[in-house]
Amino acid sequence: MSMKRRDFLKITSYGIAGTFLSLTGGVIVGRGSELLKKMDTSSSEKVKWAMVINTRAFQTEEDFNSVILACHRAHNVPDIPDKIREVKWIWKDTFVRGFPTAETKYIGDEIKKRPFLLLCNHCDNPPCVRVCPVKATFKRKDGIVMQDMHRCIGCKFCMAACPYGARNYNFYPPREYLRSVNPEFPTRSLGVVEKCIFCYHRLDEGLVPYCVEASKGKIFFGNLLDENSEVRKVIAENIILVRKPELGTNPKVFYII
Amino acid sequence: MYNVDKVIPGILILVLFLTTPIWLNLTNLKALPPSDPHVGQARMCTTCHVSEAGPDEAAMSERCVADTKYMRGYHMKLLDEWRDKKIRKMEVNYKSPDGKIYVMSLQRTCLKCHNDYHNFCDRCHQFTGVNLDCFNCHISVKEEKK
Ligand code: SF4
Ligand code: SF4
Repeated sequence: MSMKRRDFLKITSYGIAGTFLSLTGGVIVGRGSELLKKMDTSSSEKVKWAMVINTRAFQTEEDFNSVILACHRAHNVPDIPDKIREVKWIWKDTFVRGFPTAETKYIGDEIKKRPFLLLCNHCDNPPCVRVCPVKATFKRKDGIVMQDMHRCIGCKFCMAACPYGARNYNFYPPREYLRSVNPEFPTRSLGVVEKCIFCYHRLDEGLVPYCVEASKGKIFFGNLLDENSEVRKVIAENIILVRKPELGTNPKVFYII
Repeated sequence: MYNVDKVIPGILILVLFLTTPIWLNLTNLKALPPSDPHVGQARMCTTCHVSEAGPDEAAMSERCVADTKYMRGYHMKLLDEWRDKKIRKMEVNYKSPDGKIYVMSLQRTCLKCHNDYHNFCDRCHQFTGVNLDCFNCHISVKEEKK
């Protein structure tokens, strides 16, 4: 069979145009719209966990360390000396670094210098969940942003997506950097991403998170959908900040200023 | 054909030689994993009811979330279900067929008794050529003490 050069070029260009159209059309119409849907918890849910940190009550080094250690010990979080590749679920940083987009020009020195406890915000509209290609990270019905270590492939997409630096990649073999081991909780392996899990395992058993327990009343925890809950009360009665609200992630960790 | 008296026996010997593994295996094949190192070390493993006389299967089944026979064959299925229920479906407890309640947790339930995965899990897995990565993260009490 012979074919004219002209016909061959025609057929090829139709083919290319068709492929291109179906690709872009598919993404925009199908997957794209699905992806861009808001992920806020539907109104039928009854529980949405939230945390309120009273930053005025955190004064001494000990106040911070007892909380951080309680979490890190219980969850076998490795203590890695390399500051760039360290692993942390809850940590201490300055106001300016925690709230970089807040207007700070005329803000008081005391607040600018005040250290803040930072952790995963368990965003109601979590960008980290959108980007995970294997659904290893997902949002539970009660709003907790979970991390399934069994499924994590270590692609680090979620780390790029999280605007709060809450996610940590295991660059070092984590077991070699454990100070002590809690046999009630697994460790992690090299090459997975980890972060605060809002102590879902404690909540499911009716307990409060470790950090809340260790804070001795400086951190409040409860159901945001329950009007009479303690968190709702302290949020209503105080001046509250969340980190980078303009991004629309709807953080569920609140800070009393 | 030339040299028939040499060629035929030669071929026979070659075939015999190439099939030696079959003949050797036929005579002393033991398709069993290495025996439980706990047997013969009385006291070492009272939690899993193994004494000098060997494991007490009835007592083991009594204590475990399912009977020994089922666990031997299908523990991977059970563990898979536990993982999905605990992590994705917000469930906490497991009700065994005989009505007992257990916390669904490899770390807090299984490993409490099966605390030596080198001798317990690996013994069969190595024999059957199964490669696991459970214990890259989950940690057994024995190992933790090291
Ligand atoms: S703080 Fe970061 S890791 Fe946590 S839910 Fe929000 S985007 Fe995800
Ligand atoms: S909620 Fe649990 S996992 Fe998250 S920082 Fe507090 S103690 Fe750690």
